[in-house]
Amino acid sequence: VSALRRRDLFRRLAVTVVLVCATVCSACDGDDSAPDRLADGSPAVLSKVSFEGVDVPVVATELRTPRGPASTPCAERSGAIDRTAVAGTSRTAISPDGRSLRACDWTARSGWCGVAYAQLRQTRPLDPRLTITCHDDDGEPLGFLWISPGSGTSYIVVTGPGYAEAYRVVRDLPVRVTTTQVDLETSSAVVETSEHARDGRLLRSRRVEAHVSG
Amino acid sequence: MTTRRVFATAFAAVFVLVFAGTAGGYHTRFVALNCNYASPTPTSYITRDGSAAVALRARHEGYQWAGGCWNDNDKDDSPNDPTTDAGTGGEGGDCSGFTFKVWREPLNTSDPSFHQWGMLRSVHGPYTAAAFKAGAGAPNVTASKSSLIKMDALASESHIGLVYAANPDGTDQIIEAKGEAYGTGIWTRTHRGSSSYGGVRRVGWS
Repeated sequence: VSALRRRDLFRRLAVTVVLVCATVCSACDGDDSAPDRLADGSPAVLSKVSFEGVDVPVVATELRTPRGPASTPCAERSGAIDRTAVAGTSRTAISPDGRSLRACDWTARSGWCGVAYAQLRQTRPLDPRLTITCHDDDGEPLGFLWISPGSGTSYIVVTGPGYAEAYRVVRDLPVRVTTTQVDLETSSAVVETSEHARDGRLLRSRRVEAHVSG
Repeated sequence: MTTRRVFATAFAAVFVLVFAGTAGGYHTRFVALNCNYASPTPTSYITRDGSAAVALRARHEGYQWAGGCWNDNDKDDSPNDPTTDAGTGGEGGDCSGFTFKVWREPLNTSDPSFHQWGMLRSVHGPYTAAAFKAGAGAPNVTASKSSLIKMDALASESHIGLVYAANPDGTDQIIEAKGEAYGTGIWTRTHRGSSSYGGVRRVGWS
């Protein structure tokens, strides 16, 4: 009888352990879900494109022509575009002669908080021009940097912890992306990127390590 | 026997030439071999002359894109590194890394206090020249060019240098990390009269 009781107790204990594990694991799943808002408060929408090799939810970043107050640092440039991601917005403008890029970076916490300038060789900046002077909603430093798309790239996907963000490429120009993977101590950031064709096919992937410089 | 000796000599010569080429100016491993990551020392007192003394120790040293570590032997220990390559690990700061260290700024951009960094401490800091020009970060403010005095800065979107002395003709002696081909030193510059340049000041000088 006592052996039967012991076995029953053991079974109950095992069920409890399984239930606790299931609860903890589902909580972990919850942490990995994609955010529901972009930096400007608009709803975050999952990309309709299925990106080959990306196995986390992919948020589609917003792309639009600038709006808002003309007093912003990049307002005077024509042909500018704003990209809004989950943690921040960045405005990229190309100079009228097409030889340089300028960016202004924005977060809800810091306002307009970063500026970047790059001379172009062909359509590429000499380096990613990382800025880390902005902060996200939690007060953590946020990085902005340009990624230069390769031939045939329609989307650049940046994969972070738990989710990824897709940026649509326009006119083969460098795409200014955001990252929370910033190391203040070394004034650097690392981003895992992949480049995809219009149908989501993977073209290439690489890890970009950028440093604040110059 | 002679053929073998000739072959061995030729092989040795080629080996030496190939490896001397790659281990020459490029990748001198200056940072890896000499620099450290010691914590900075917070300090409550800093003067413009004290800051100039820090800057002068970097004079005649090298220039390194994204760098911020140098010694005081009055020579560039990593000459001819490829420009705009942060990975070469050579001696010197770049223009913004040099300014950050000479102005004794903290890594936290919200903190305006003073931090002394060792000369051989490898640190660049969070600001580019463009960020300095915009007055980004709590320690930095924009200032009119006519108001600039010793150890204030003139910054464009791609370069920054510190005013060491004003010349009577309206130009300035600028102490700066100028570029890979020049290293760090003092040059007469016309930045104050250039529309590309703005004035920047470190706040809190004693």
